[in-house]
Amino acid sequence: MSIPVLTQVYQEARRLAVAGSVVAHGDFRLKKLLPALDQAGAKAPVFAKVAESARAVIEGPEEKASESLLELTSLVTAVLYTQGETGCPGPLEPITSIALGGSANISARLLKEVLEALTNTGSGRLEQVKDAHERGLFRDLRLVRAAVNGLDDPYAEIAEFLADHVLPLYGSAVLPDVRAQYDPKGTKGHPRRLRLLHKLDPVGARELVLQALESGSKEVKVAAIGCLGAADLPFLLEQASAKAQDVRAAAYQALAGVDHPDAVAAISKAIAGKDIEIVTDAISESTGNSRLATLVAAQIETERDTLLSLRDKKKVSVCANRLRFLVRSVSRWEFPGTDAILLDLFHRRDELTKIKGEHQSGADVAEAVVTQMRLGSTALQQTLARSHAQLDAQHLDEAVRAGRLSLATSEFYEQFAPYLEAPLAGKKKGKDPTSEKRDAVIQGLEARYIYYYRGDRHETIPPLDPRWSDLAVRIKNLPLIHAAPPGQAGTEAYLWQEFESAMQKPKLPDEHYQLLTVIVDHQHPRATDAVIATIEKIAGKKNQNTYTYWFYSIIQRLPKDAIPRLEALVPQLKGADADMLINAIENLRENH
Amino acid sequence: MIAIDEAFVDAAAPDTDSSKNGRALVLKNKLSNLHISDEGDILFGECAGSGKTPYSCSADFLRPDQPTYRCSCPSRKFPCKHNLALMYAYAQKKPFTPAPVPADLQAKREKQTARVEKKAEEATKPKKVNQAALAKKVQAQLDGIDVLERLTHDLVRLGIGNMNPKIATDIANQANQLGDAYLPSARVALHRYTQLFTNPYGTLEKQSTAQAEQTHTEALTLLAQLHAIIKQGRTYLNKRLEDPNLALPTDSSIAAWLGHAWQLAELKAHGLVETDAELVQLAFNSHDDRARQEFIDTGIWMTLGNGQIRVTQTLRPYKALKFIKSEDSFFQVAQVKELCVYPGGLNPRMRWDAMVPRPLEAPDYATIRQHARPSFAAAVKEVKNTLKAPLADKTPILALSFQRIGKVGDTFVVEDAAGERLAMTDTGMAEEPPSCHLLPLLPAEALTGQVLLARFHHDLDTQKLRIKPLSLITASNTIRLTL
Repeated sequence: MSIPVLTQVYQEARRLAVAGSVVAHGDFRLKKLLPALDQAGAKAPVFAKVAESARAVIEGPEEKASESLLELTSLVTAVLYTQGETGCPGPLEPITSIALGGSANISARLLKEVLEALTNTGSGRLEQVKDAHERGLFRDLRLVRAAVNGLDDPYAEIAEFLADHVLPLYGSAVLPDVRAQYDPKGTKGHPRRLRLLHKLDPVGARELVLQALESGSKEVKVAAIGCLGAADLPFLLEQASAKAQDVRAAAYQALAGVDHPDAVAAISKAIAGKDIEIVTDAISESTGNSRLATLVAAQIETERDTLLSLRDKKKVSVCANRLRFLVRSVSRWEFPGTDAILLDLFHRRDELTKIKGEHQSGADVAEAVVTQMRLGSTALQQTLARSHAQLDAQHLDEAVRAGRLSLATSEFYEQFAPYLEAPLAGKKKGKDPTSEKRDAVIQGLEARYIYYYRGDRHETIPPLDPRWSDLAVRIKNLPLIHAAPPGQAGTEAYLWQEFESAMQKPKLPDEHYQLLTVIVDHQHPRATDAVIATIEKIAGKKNQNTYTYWFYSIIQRLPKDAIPRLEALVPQLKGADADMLINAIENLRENH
Repeated sequence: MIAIDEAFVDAAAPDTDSSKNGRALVLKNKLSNLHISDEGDILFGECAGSGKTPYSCSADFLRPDQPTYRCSCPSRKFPCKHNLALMYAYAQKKPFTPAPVPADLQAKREKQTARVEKKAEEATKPKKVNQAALAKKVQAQLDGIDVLERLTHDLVRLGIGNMNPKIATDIANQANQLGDAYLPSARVALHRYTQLFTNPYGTLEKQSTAQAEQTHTEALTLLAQLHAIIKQGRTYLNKRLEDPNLALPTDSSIAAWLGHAWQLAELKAHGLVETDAELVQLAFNSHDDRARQEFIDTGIWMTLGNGQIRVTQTLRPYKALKFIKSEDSFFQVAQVKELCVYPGGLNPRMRWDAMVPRPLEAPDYATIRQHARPSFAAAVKEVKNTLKAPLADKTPILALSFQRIGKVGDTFVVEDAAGERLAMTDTGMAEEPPSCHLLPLLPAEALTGQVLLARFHHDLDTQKLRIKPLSLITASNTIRLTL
């Protein structure tokens, strides 16, 4: 069959339909195809029919041209539909499978909700995306494209979450999509794309990084600089002198990761100049190397000597500020040189404190040193903690925090517990150093308030010695009881006694909800009783709303066996009280 | 005895809010007088609402595959939260005492039984047709066809490439008139035509050259389709005008194109019914059809008995979203006593009144795989024969048994045992989201010797017939690629 001629007829019919059938009459291009159609028509009647239809378009009455053209189109397309070309010549290469799994029978309704969160705008989407991530919904391949597109989400936190937590799950499987969307001239999502490409495939992304440096937008260029390493040292050195501050910041960030004398020299030059703040930021984010550590230690030493020799308040202020930046840059490093210089400054803190400047003084440096020691190596933390007796209240809470992280639980108790029971000097509370130190220890123990949210920070802090519980009961400090290990008989008895006493009052004191939090979080054997008794007392009463949200939220932490008892309580409640309890039960059920 | 669990009640709920509210009513102890009939086929009770008198609600399992929910509340949702609460209470083993069915409820049940029997009886009788009303309707449709013809020819005369806001507004207005002339499909086709040139907000926008080329091809295809509706529709309607008793055609979809909404009874009367069918859903998608102003939930199923690929469609008009339950993917085997299949096409629409689920097991997968087309050449021939009909679905679906999936250059290609190949693409098939890019994410074993559910598309610009992968069916799993 002469398919090419039919294809030509279709193209001509399409052209005429696009231009308008008013120009179809006598159309010479269609006319030119008639002989070929007639010739084919002699062998296959369908071509004769097409020729007849084409003639009707060219030679028929003008008012019928539209109809004739549609007739011709219908006829030709019907034939062409039977002649569709299939196949695909060439060697069939296997697909490199990344094997993410399958669709895992996740309901379309559930996935659609995530898709909507990723494609719409509006509040609450980040939580939905995080929840979907936790539930493993992103393992379903059908969310991949939406997750990749989400790199452009107008809410930057969603885009960052996808780039940092979701897309790396797919590994190199998403590279083609991310790469196809990547525009080196773009902003917002495109720097994110480049960083992701580099993270997933540093070698493959190399060319893109270089191209971005050459012709990328400012944002992409900055991201590209962050993707460079030792091999690009000359370029990084060049960028360290760029006019734009964010370009220099990115260059410093990359240089801080390069263990090379030239890199260190460039950083040294920046420290000496106005870029000290951005370069020290870059240093603090790096993992450091001994060459860099030596440089920073030497710089701190120089600035220290200068500061100790200065008398002019303006100069003191400038020097103290520089020293503060340098001290802050060595956080989380463990190099003997930097540890030694921090210790030196720590031991000279009295000396430093005496130096007064216009805006910044030696005291600010001392404070930065104490903070850095708390964040630093275990040896520094231990030194700071064991020096507590020499510290004033201002620095004592840092010593408590350092001790909690670095000392054995028993030593930590022995070092700091005495502060809480030390007799007060009888002065006004605010002016009594003993009272101030007690407050500082409580602050360091994070026992000033009852923290409703049990965030991640608690997971990294070692538990307290059980003796803190008894101490907390003795001094009647509820937040400290909350922070101390649960399960102590004395504590449980105390909590229940406090609870009963509160319940006897006509109106529950504000602290009651805090007490209830401690009872529930300590998994007190009668926690469910306490919650139910409280609900029964406040149900239907006015002016009990202040802590309602808190109260119903702690219900979710009760043990599973509380569910039937709470469900039995629902019928006794009305309106919003019942709805809140039902929601709380639902959440409790999900938690178990 | 009624055998329901909480999952059954969840699935029966029209939406997640109703289900949540139903559960809350149980917890709030709003239910009272919970009873089950002596025969164990109906649950009934009362549920307190905001008024003084509680609502009387019941869940009737006289027909276990098609429960009837009754409630005296004014809710337009079925089942309402009170019915759901009643069922949750039963599923949670709350005490239901045996009791005789109240007289009013019994009367309703009897009425319903009578209604069902009457319906079954009526289904066997020839339907009485109001000749005068039918003639009036057919004449209105013929007049509508004249309007459609004029409009279509005007569009071709003016030229597809000369679309402007005035023409777009005129078409939209005239299209709405076609709805009044009982030609809803023509109305939708015209709206679809204008939407080819507009953005989602309805304003005309300048398209790139490549986009414009694609738009022109799609526009011409739509105009050709309208031309076919005009020709076939006029012939059929004229015959219908002459002979009001003319049977509805079951060999083509022209009746549906002319706005005929097939009733299940009609389908049964025309013999378009299969008994004791078992169906497995192989793909599911839900998309927004702006031209129809509806969300369409489409399930693509294989009938285990004969291997036919058919579709279910739940149409949810924007205006009635609150009241129509959205469908969801289904992972079991649907056992259907009477399966009604619409006329026309390779993948006709199907519906059923009642269904009982059962777990999908390894032998079912074996059956699905057995039904898949082993020869691409034969499958392609069948598809081409389907496509040539002017009113045929232009993107038919088949299950293909393949040897391997690989790549030729940048194109994903599937090959059968005989070495025949089909290239894959996402273009021209916007109903489902793109899926080709998901193939590299599949386990290697899924790309060799499995079954592919594929949607075919003939691209008139390139004259290529290609496929879009919808799902892969292995010996123990269905990997769905679309949504």
